[in-house]
Amino acid sequence: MVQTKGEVFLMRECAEQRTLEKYQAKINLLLALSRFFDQGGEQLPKTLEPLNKAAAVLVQSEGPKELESAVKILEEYLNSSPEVYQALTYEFNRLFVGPAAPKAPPYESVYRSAEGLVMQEQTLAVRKMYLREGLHSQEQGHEPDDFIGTELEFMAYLLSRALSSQQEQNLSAAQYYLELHREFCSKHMEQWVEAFAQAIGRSTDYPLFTALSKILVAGTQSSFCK
Amino acid sequence: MTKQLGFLHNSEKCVGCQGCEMACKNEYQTDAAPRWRQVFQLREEDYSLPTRMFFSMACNHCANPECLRVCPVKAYTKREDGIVVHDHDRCIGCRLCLMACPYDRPQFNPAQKKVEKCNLCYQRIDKGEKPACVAACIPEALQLVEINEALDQRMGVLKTLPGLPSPDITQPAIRFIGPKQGKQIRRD
Amino acid sequence: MKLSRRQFIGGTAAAAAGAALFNFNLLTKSVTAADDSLEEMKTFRNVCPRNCYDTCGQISYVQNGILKKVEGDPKHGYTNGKLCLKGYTYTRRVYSPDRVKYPMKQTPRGSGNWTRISWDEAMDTIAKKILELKSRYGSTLPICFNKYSGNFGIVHYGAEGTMSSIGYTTRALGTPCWPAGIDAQTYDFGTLYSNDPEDMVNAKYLILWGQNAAWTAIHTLPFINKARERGAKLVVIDPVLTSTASKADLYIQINSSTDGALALGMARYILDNNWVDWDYARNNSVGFDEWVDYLKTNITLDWASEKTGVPQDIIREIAREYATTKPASMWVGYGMQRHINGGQNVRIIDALGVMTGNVGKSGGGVNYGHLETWGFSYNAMVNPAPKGSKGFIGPDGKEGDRNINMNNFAHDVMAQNDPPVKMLWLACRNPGSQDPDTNAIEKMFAAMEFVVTVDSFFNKTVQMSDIVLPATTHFEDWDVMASYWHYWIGINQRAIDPLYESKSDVEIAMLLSEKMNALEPGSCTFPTSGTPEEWAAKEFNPGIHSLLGISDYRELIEGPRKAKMTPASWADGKFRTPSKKIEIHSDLAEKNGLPALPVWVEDMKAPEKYPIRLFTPHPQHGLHSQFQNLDWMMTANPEPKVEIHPVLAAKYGISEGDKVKIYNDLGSIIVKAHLTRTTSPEVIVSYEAWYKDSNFNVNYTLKATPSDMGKQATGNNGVAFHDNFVTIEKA
Repeated sequence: MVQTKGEVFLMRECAEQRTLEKYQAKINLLLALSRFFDQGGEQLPKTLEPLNKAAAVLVQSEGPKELESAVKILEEYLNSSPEVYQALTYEFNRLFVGPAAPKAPPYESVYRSAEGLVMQEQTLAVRKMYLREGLHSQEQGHEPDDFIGTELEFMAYLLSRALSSQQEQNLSAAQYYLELHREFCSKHMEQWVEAFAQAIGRSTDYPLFTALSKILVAGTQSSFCK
Repeated sequence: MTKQLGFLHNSEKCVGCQGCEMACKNEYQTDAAPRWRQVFQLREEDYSLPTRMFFSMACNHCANPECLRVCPVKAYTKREDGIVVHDHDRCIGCRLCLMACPYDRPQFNPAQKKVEKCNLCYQRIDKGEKPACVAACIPEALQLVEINEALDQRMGVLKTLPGLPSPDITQPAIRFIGPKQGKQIRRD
Repeated sequence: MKLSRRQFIGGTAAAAAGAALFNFNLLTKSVTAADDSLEEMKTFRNVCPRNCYDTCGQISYVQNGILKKVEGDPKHGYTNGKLCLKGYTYTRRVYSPDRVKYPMKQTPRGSGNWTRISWDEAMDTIAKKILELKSRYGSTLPICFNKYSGNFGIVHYGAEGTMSSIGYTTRALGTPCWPAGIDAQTYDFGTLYSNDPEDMVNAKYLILWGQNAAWTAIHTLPFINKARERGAKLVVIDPVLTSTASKADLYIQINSSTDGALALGMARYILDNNWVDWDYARNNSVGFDEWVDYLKTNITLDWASEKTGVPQDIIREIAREYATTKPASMWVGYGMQRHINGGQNVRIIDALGVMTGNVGKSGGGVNYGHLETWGFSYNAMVNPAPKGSKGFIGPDGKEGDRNINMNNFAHDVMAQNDPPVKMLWLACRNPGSQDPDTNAIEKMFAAMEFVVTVDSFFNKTVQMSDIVLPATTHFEDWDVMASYWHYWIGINQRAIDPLYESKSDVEIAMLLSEKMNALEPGSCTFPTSGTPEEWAAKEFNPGIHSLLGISDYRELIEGPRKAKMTPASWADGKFRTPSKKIEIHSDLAEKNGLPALPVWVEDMKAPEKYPIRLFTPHPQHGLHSQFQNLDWMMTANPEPKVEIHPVLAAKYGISEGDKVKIYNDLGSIIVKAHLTRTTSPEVIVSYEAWYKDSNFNVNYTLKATPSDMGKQATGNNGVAFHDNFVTIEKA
């Protein structure tokens, strides 16, 4: 991986500036988001709490300010009644799953072509990036590789590799993973997450999902070395 | 330019099935909105009897392409065989070509904010294959032809159809065979 | 049973960081070395399984496991490497984000409140309901099954097999589209059996009777055009000037439902001029002279002209040409038999073909369709009922399924008492949008305890279901398909993995069987093993092998094969009627309460209150409720229309583009007007379809009026779809 001196410097500085906890907080948020989408509306009672916690930690560790109110909304939902959770499940499926045409299909390629199909060139490009790390989606061929949950897990993985490399004092490896993370963000996640969040925002009346869309956008920015 | 490739559309044979239109979309997996090729219905009132009559039109690869003339970034080029090729990478989506084309054939893709159009399947032609639309036409109403004097002298070959702009503007590389109407026993 | 990763929730939720400790949930380490290069494009053989004459051979192009495009199979001699517009949109169907992806449950039905459930839970819920109903009523008859033509692949008869394997059930029997014509040809010839459509090139004269090939069988056009290049004249008879009719040498705008009267008029003129092929007719048929007497006594050209609206000189012209230009081919469309006298009209046309000796001849025939190439094993369909199953005792004293009328489905389901119907299982079928009288269908669904639908898209029927199971597309399945028009058979390979958690009907049956037997051993006889390819292989038998000249189904992977049959049906003169001859006089028809002879039966007259006939024929951009919802189709044909003759429109103060309310006692629809003289002045036309994000459905006004025939060969009479009367007003 060829990098400019400036980039190397920036990353070193970043690495020095940020505590390991901040990395960890970010990783945890990505994973919590990944689980939130993957486990589906039926598991919200289990996935909402870790998500709220991860987001709260990131906010505390100088995370993006716009997260604060969103985190509060999440928190308000934590002790929802079973009826409210049930309604949230239906809303989750209406937004992301079906069986009616979902209002915000959670797949990258849907947002990067005009009418939005799954299994397009973006899907394949994501698959290629996973492969560069010797990884592939467990459901390759069945579920689109660019499912939001899978992309989030990949981002978490890259950051966790960067973090562990850092801990092992392997700076070049840390740089490599940070750079790969940045590349994945800019080529993929950042290319669609806004549109996805907007689709959520204009399709739901539930503050939970609007808050979620904000956390998702803020939590997936690659530029957290500012 | 050594020759001018173009289309010959036969409304006598065309049943308006839109197979050409979908075959084009299938070949290039285009987005829904841009219609590189489109089937149009001729107006009943322009002919003596009411029938379902159609013609199919993509880019006409004009001898004097207005799109090419007005494009500020030179996204359009004309090949030796007359095909007008649009370079998607160069296109800045200014849409001057849309205004210039008398046939509305450059298609704006609202998602990509760029123009796209039929490139007469030049990659297929270079391999010796027919354009996807021509290959898909079941009643063989659509043909790839060389536009020349001999073609224009063939009986029944028309340079335009009712309702289309004058071919003098851009000299489009399309020729038509008009619809033929049979005998009708009607009750109205 | 393999646990899905969704069942691991607690275990991996608290994933720790660090490479060694990273717990993958969705990703996994690749075993093979990383290879991110683009694979070579692979191709597979497929066959379009839709309910369509053409049943096209397809080649799917697949790269990295993704379907890139679909083309026609050049080795298919009838479809010749070309697809219709629908066939070219398949990538949009497979990869539409709108697909039904997982098993889901709706609580309560119709609420839009859907929960995603595992296949295991879905099967558990369904199996328990089946067993509970069985124990409550002592049989599985409260379960009603309705499957028809959403996918005509032979392995899909595993859906019927699912039902057989749980016991005797209530079955929607019949076919909505074409049974009156089938029965007509059954009474006349013993079955429906048309010439090879490729043989139409040999015709010297062609009559397309109520048939719009340009929209519904476009691959026949090249053969018709070839015949025309060789000098054949094309005549199209249709109340609507269709795209096909627009190409005819002669188009005849006949009064709806009077086709038999025109044929009788022609027959009388042929008789008067002695253009009859007496040898053929007398040697091959029974009752011909009796019919000739009828013609002499009852039929005049005056009458025929009056009935049909066709001038006498034209009747004379086509009678003379048809009788004297040999061979002459007739193609009877399905539209013209969707009337209360539709089957009888087909019988009269059959008789016209016999009278002129055009039956059994290359370039001739009265062509309607055939099932000669459908002799598969139906292995997936045939399962014995579990031991001790209680069934319905039919009029013949035999115990079995309880058959109800598919063509009056809502009514018949509600009419069952002993035991009542409590559960519906729907596969390859969308009655919510396709059945007559949508309001009655909605009420009937609401009265059910439990509804299961297998489908790929969220249509009206899924909307009214408790559980939806995601169906595979044909690119995700192995199957084999035959046509009811051409003579080719093709294998359908699995080209891509099934998307999401979709499964085929047979895979669903296997899962259900596993679950039912776990809950109550012996309660389901459906096998629980077999790969999709093995299931397809089992549909082949020595008869199919010899028909195709193959010894193994895998030979079809090299290309589809055409059945080894003569180009002309009935060329051997061996008819399959009780008398082994063409039965111009049919005792069987008479026994079934129909006229023995092909005589005129009155058409339905418009009631005073609803003077306009509403035609709802097959659309150009879809097949029933399939295709029109796809984005490319929505661009090509964004909204429904009703075609109205300008004279009629003026009478009701309607202009081009106006919204028009079409209604009768049953219901109403609102649709945009298109003024055109391609329709008759008393007929309006709106094509049946299911548009995306739209509740448009022509069947809200359509009464389940039976056509005159269908019972003999298909179990129930058809629907007189085209005897539907309405009135209109500006909306």
